[in-house]
Amino acid sequence: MNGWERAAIVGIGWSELARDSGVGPGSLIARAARAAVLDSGVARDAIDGVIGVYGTDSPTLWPGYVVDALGLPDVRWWDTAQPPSVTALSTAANAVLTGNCDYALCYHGKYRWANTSVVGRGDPLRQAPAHEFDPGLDHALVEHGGSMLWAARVMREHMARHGSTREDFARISVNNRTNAARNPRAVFRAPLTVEDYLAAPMIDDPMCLLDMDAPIDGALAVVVTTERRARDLPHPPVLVEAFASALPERNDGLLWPEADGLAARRAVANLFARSDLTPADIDLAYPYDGFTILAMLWLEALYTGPGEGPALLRESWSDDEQRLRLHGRVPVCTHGGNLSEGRATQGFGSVIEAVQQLRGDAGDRQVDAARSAVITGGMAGTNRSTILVSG
Amino acid sequence: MARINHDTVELWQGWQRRELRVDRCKDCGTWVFPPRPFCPGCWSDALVGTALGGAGRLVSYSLPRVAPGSPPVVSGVVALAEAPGVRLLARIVGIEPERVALGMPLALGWWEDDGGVYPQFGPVDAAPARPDGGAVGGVADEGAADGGAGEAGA
Repeated sequence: MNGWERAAIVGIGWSELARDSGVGPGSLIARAARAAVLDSGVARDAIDGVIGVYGTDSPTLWPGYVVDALGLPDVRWWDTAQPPSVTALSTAANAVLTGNCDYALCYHGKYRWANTSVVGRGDPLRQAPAHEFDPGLDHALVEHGGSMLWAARVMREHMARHGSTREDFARISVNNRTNAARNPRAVFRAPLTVEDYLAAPMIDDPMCLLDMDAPIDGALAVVVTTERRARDLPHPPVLVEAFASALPERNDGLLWPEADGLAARRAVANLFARSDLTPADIDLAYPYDGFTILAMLWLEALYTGPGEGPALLRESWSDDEQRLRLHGRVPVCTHGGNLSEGRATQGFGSVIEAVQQLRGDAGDRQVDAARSAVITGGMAGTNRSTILVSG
Repeated sequence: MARINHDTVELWQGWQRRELRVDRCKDCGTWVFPPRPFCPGCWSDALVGTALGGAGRLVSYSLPRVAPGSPPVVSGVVALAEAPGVRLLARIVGIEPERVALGMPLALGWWEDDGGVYPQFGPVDAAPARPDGGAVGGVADEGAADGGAGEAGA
């Protein structure tokens, strides 16, 4: 218990996640949203808040579109949030706790621009919806003719400073793929070995193809209300125990590759300061894995000192299972993470998966007696993390 | 072609003259970069553009994939020795990628294409890597403070 009223996730839904969905972003988000409302048992007319992830690096949708697409007659609150998608969940939780709305529909969608993939380039209709606002990535540094993939330099710095190896990062990649084999949502489900990882093409040395999530199309959604209202709905509620962020000064990873680790440690401290639980109490770990280096830094923030993540991964690795079990107990990214579900999810896949696990509804992925999950989302400049518990 | 905006136009114009100017707060001495509207340390508006020699150290780097047959690219983060807390993104030239090491001292040089002149960095003792480039900066100070995003001030 955290000592104050909690919000609850009462419905979950998702669209197909695919390399090329063949439809527009509106269809994906509307399908996910409809599924979440149907799953929640909340009457459509009772949905009075709509909150979406918006303004990211690909076309997303204004809440007004979703209201029209679903025919929601009485929405009295809306909001938007930046990725990672846990920010939208926290915005929805705050909205129901303050009473701005009672039942918030919260969605995240991702859709590749025409220039983000080979498939995208072949589709001239793959353009921003009319409402799209993209602040762009114009950086005060001007172009330098090299790589803007900041995370590769974060990874390099970790390897140089702490002695981490590609085999260490491979364990994160393989773990997630092993788990994805049992996740029908995942785009990448073929088994992967450490040897496969080591043979993968370099994209931005030391970062290889299997260190990063792939762009895909898709959308995910949840319905959020208060703990009290959740008791009257069909599913056992999953309670939002706590949220937190940390936004350190000098959080631009392009110049400050050490900022991600610092932000992760502060964010985890802030998160657990808002709960009686400690990281050791948590049953399921969902470190953000848009890049394996980010998962490494989040795991260090949760469980070890700086630079001790590789040792944790080695101790936690099962050759037989080809996956991690932290401290012999806690599984990591039971659905396969962004690395397997693709960059449609930006952390929202972890929310959907954790809700299924904490409901006891995760099928053959179900972890026995799982009662709590920690989801850490994002990086130095944009992070939000949450603890979810069974109600 | 660089993407220039209101914040970066003066920086860019300096580059075209092969000059690296970084703002410094006249009141509290804080170096301010990337360009900001006022000093983030004391909120003073008194920022003074200050030309730097460009001695630096390598904070981190990556080797982005390039087209087959193209020369390798070393994409670096460089901390400037003369201006604690100031870093640049720039290509590292004049050194084989496998010899690049974190913390190595670097000197400023310039390269240009049809779009303009850009900073680059090379080893302090290296020959120029390109006809119009090369190391022209001063000698790096040993262990210059960088004011990194460490735990200080946490």
